[in-house]
Amino acid sequence: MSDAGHASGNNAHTDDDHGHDLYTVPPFVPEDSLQDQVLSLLAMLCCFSILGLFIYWSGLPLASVESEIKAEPAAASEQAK
Amino acid sequence: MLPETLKQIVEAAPYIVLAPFIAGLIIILGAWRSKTLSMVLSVGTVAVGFAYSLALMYALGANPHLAPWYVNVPWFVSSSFTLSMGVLVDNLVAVMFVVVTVVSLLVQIYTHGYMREDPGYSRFYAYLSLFTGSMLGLVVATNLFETYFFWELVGVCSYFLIGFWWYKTSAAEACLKAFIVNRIGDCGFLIGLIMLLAATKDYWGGNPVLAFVGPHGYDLAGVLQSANVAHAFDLTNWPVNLLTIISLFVLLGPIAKSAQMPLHVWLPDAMEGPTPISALIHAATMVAAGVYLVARAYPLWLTPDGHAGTFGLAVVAVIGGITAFMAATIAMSQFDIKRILAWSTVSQLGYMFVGLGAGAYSGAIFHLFNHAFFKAMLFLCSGAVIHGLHGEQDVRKMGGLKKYMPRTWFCCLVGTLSISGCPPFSGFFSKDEIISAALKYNFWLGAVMILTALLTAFYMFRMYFMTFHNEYRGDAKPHESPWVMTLPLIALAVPSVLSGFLGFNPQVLNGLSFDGKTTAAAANHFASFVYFGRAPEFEGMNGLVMACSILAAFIGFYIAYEVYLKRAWKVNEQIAHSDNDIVAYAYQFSYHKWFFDDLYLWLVQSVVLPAFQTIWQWVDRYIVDNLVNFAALVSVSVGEVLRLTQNGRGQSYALVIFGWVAGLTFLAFLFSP
Repeated sequence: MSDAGHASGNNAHTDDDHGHDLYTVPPFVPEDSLQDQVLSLLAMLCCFSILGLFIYWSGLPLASVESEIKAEPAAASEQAK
Repeated sequence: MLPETLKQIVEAAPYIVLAPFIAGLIIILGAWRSKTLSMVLSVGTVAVGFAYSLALMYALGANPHLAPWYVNVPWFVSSSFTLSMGVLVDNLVAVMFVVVTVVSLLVQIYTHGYMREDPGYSRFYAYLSLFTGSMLGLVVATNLFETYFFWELVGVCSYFLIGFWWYKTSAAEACLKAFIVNRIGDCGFLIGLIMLLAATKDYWGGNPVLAFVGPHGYDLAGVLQSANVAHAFDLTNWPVNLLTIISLFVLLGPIAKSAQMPLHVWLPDAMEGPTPISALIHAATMVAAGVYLVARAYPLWLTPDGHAGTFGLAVVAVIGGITAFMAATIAMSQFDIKRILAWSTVSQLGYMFVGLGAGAYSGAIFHLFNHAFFKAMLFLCSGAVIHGLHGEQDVRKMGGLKKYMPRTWFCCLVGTLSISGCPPFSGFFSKDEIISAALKYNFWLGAVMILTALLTAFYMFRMYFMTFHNEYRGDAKPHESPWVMTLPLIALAVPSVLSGFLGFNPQVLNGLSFDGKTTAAAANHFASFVYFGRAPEFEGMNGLVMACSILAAFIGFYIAYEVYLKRAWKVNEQIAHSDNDIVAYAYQFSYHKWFFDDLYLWLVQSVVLPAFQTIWQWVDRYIVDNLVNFAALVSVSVGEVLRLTQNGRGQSYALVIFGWVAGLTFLAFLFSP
């Protein structure tokens, strides 16, 4: 896998290319583990939270077009002309 | 909720920024020994940050008067000015908090699946935490010097992450390239800050200098106005004033960070890093920091009384326009799936610069907001494809993956439709705002933006069709990624579809005409929340512009459809193997990225290095050598003189001793009390 470095197996070791162990790599977490399930749930929760945020945002009062002073730079330039 | 509780939410911002830093340090100092603990610390802190950003949006929505809130701590105090570190919370910060924490959280969840077997799993999470903290720090910075501090931290994290697989020569070279190019921009940014401080230090009245928000008249906009009234920026016999020069120096920072021409060359090479990082740093957040800085320090580019149309903003718009077009033409001929997306990022950042340059402040931030979601998703999709094909990144060796990776296919389709500006996906709304503003600002700039929209649709559907449709052309056995990698894609697909509606009010469709006239303005939710100045400004919808951008997207899609899906048109092969010199050169020009890399390499090898060699040879020969020779000459001369006194005769030495004794006695007599 060119994009994923040298993926190693369980209890893999990294070395300095001279056969000397630098440290023991902790074992990797297998697929469909508890961690996977919790993270998947978190992703779903995040998805629903974003949806909730948009619904809340859409419920916020809109600024009034007529009564407010147009102050964004483009508008200010238009007025200046 | 009680007003006091809302206030407490706003005031909790500093802890949310600090938490990822602490998590990163804990992982580095020892938690790396447990992959699960590293992941829990990193994901946990950013999940809390995401929950906080939701609470912040709620607090600012429920009580708009809570913003802006800021706190400053003196950092460097001198007799003439005070530099501070602090935290600023306002509506723009809240939106950026949502962008950074959502993308970071989903990328970190995805990382668990993608980097599962990598020995550097824990180290990667440590870097992700440090990066997230740095980016949040940059977002909440109260002044330009603090921004610069976090700006550099973000750059360092980027360096570590691009070179994460440092044993690959390409990765090591890419991180060095990113570091050097960004330092060029940062150098200009720092010079600009120092010049700005020197020009305005008398106008801050003892308040923190270069602050974005402060007491009335002592924020960036107010101080620039005071300094301008006092003629602090006047330059005699110069066509521009000092503020314009300062703003152009500061702009070098965003140009490098947001990969704008001519400092864009680092971003495509930065794809050597792991794909989750490409999604987080090089698509959604860090590269957006340049756009954020221009937006945050917007008064620097405006006239002192807050008008657009300055030379500085024209430079922003022109650089953005050229970059958007250039990157789109390059993306059309690339074959590496990540690099196609990288060039599309450069192009979309160009759109944001055009928006800011044309004075469409809210439109540019809106595109930043939408782009973060769909581009992060597209990058994660590319990672899922690479993962499913065991490392293959060449789209020529893909194809037909729709049936093997249905979830990834669906999300990639959503992202492609969104970035191409197809209604009703999010990219359509924000891109339309920017194109309208660009056309109003300058017809030719608007026309280039529409043409770029056509190219965007073409290269994105080219990538999509080559990856997911027709027959599979590779060797590896494709497979779908696990849920822990595909659920973040789905989570990002939701805002990619829906976030555009925050910037849309159906009332603008009333009386929509196609004669080039804009309908009456109608307020929308995004610009009601994030705007520059005292009150929001809304654009009406221009039916002609909308029709043109939709038509451009459709033409781009149709050409890609005929060439890469139906294969009815063979223009791609004819162009690539054309006998016509102009066509062949045009293809090579696109394929070789407008020869920027070759040009820079030639400049460094043929101009910069020989020039330095000549200068240092001259310095070495005529200054260093002569200094050394002079020192030797002095020693020899002094020695020659002193040698005369060493004649070996006792009488001479006795005379010297007698002379000293007589002299000292005389001095003692003179100065005796």
